[in-house]
Amino acid sequence: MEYLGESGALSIRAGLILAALLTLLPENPALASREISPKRECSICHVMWLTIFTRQEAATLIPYDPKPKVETGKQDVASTERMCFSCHDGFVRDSRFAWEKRQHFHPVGVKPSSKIEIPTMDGKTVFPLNEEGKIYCGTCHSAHGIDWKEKFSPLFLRVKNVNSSLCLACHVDRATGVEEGNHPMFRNIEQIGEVPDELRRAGSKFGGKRRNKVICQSCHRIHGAADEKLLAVDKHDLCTTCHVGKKGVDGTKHDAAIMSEKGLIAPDSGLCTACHKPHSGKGPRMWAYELKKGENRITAMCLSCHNPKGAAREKVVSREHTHPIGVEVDKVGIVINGGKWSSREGDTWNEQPLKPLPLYDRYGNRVTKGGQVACTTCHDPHNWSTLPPEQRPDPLAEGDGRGSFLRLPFGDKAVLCTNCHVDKAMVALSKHNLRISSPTDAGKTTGAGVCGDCHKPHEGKGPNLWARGYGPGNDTIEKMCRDCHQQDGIAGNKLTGENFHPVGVEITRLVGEVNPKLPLFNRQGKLGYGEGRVSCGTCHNPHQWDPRDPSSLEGASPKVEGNGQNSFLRIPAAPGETLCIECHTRKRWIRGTDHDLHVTGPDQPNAAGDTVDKTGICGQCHMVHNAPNRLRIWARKLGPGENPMEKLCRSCHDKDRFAGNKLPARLTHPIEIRGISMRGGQPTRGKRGHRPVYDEQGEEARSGVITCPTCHDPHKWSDIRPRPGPGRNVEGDVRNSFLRDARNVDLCANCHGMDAIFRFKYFHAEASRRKHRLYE
Amino acid sequence: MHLSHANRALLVAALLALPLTGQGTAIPTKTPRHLLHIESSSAGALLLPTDVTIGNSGNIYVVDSGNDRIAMFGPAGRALSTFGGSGAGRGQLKDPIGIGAGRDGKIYVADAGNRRIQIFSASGKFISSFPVKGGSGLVKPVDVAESGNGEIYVTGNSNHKLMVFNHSGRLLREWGGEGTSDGLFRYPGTLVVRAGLVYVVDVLNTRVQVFETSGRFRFNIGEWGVGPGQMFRPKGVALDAKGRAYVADSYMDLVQVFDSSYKFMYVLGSSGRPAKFTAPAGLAIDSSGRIYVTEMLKHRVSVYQLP
Repeated sequence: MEYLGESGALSIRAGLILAALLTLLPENPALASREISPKRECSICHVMWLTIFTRQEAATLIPYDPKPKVETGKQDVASTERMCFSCHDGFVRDSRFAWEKRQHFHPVGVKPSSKIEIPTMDGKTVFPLNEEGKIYCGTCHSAHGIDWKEKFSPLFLRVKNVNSSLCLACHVDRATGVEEGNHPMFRNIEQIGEVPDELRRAGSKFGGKRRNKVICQSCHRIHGAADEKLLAVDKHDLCTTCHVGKKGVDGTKHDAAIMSEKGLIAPDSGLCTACHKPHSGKGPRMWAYELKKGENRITAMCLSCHNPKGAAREKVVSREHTHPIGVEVDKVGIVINGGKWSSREGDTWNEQPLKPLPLYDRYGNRVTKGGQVACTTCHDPHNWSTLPPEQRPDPLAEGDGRGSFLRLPFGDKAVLCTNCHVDKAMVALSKHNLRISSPTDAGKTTGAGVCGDCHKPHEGKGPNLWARGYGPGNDTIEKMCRDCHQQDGIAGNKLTGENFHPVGVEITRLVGEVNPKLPLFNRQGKLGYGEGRVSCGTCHNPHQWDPRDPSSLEGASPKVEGNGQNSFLRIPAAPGETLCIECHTRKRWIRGTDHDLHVTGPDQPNAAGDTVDKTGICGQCHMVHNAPNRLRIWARKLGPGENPMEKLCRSCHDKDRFAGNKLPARLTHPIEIRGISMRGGQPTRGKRGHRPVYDEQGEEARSGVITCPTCHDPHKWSDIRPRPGPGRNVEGDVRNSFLRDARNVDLCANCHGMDAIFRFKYFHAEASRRKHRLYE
Repeated sequence: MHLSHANRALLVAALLALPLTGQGTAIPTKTPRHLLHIESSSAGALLLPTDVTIGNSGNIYVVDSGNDRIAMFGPAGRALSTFGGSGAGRGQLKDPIGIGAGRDGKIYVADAGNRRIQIFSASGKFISSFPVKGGSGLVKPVDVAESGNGEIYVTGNSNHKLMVFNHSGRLLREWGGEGTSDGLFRYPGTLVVRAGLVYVVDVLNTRVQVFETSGRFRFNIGEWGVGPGQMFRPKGVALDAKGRAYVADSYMDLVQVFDSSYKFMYVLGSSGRPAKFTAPAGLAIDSSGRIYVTEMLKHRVSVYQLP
């Protein structure tokens, strides 16, 4: 036994040395426990304090070496790893786990990096380094640091490590929060779930009274960690133990391991570290890359890889002809209330509730209301497919509507697109769903479901995210339609013929008649209301077969023939005149007149064989597509006559035709006489009292023949009191009878002078003609 | 003591120049003959082996504690099989430490993490287990030994006691408790039961206490210190055929030998230099005089023929 004081054998030399060393100790009584003493409790670790080392004649089994050079550097023997292990090997305390994975310790034997600022107290460092300025066990641990009776933190730590306070004393830059690119700390894990069993088993710790707050040791183990980053579990699994919903990224093109195979990121990265850095990220969501300034943050995140020089350069997304971002869903009729989505357009065809998709503020924070669309509104970068596992497509193959990290399926029912574009949902129940009308062509364009046959959300070919080619046409919209509706096109059996309603024309041709409710377009196909050109899309809504009953299944057949009640019209054209008068407002008074065949000829077919109940009032005389006559896209067989307009009228008003009883004794004004439709040197078109005259082709002209519509407006029973007709066949007089305002006979008076009124009144009578030599 | 700073420095400088390490007398050593190292089991490299025992057939059983399994080797050190595995189920282990071979051929394992003793056949087939319940509840066992008369001796880490159970796990008696006096322990470690005596390593009391099987204290082997015959972190104890006690010290990295009257004889080594083991823990000596030394931080068992 070599106890000081027990043997009384302390040599003079040793005594002097001890006395000298004691003078170096601080005189603070609080540090008395650190005074050199060969007492057994001290020399259990401070082995070199044993007095046997001072006895020259005594042999020792180990050499005297108070500061040996060990793996971690030159340091006090009491705090070498070997001294620690001599108790912590399971026989006294069990810390074998720390040595089982010896390579995954908090770094020791290294100097702290420049990022580390070790705190000091009263001018002394709280966490001392060894003789070589390196970190060693004693940097954090000390038998003297905490009362041994301390139950809460019996780890011989220099300071209590409550809620990772010891860790953060040096690593304060790791806890600055999400805005600084760090994983959030002290946040209640119950916000995303319970503490995972896997972490519990791995020895992870959570802070707070309820042990539910994220602290350093929730993810990290200081000793015996799973890898060199001191992670509690394997880096491939760590994040998703808590972020369970993100597990889907495993094995996808967003999986760091997959990306590393392409050499895009470091091969030792964990599952999530392709995009996220839990510490010192570049901004919110601990993003791993510099964000491009000026972009919405969410978008900027995606573009940090999806750009021509980025890791995902094979999937570049440019801003042109790509689904807009930074817009509010209110624009397409989505109403958000209490986090739930509904649509001003009504229910979806299957009446399924809309799924709230994530929207973001300009800083990239997810908001429930007033947020804007971003890439991740449609895409869930952590899940390749929402389909059941057995139906999921290969996550490494080219994406289509079943995969591609979409939040909702994008297949036959177009669920994703129509979750916002509710008014477009009915396309799935129409012939414009190629799975109905042309199954062999379905999915060939983008492979992305119903919508994808015509539209492409990224890198479209033109406006409206167009995905297909273009056919002939005057403007982009017509060209889009004619990609299918042309000879040899998918819809080659549904052509407009040679004679059809003009498209690509300025709506200003209908001065004073424009109703802005229908969409107009510029030449590039951009939508505008109130100005622009008429195009196919002005009358047709390609996403909805029946405007009265959007959920009708009648259009969901390749053989169905449309009429004025459906045919993808925006507004029904039959049985009334509703659609046409949206633009041709001056023609609205035809309803209920003799020219409304509901009144005078409900069974009379037009040239296509359709009666008025199918064609609507207008469709009995005008065929918007495939009209047999170019002039006025006339829908009936022309009658006899001396000029084109007379032939139109006499389609019906001729003997043996159904309006043969309204055939005047005398018909037309002498063809040799040309009238001038001008007043005071100015054209009268569009002005009160206008009486049109026509050229040889039947087009209205400043000078031309005086023919039936010069005096008659076939769409208005009475020009004096414009209103719908009485709904029954009545005899007219000079105040109505489709006559233009009888009080204005300037055109007649130009030639007939004071006789004009008489001539006008009795124009079709025998007597009127006899008063002039031309009628002889 | 009040010295000026300058005087303090002068005093220190002068005194530090004096020689300090004792030159001392030579350390008695005897040289064992190295036979082999056992480093890998049939399932892979050993990890932190803590104890070793020799079965009736001469097979070697090593507690591969870092892998939570028992590795079995033939007498020549050939890897045969393993049993155990991490877990709390039947036959599974969690942080095992000690192992003992019964005269009936069974293998007894101190399943420390699961607070139980597990009993296996010589081939490693699970037979039974019982919880280590001392007088004050579940106890973390460190080592286990079977006496030959059906009694199972277990050292308890958390209660500082030696407990004796029957095969069904009933506590027959216990003694000890925390303290430094004879008969008390501070972290009892490995143990050997031989010829009616129980040898228990008392780790922080730095001694091997010897008891009668009834629990009556007989005497100590070793004492506190770092000189010959002294101990700093004794962990393993084994007896040879002549009754000599071999004690492994896991800090000083050596094995000391005490004669049958428990006086220090020598250190395994040569020319006055102790043979260097790395964190040696459990020991075993077979009938042919071979000593098996577990070296925890070398992750191996070193086998020597005793001198």
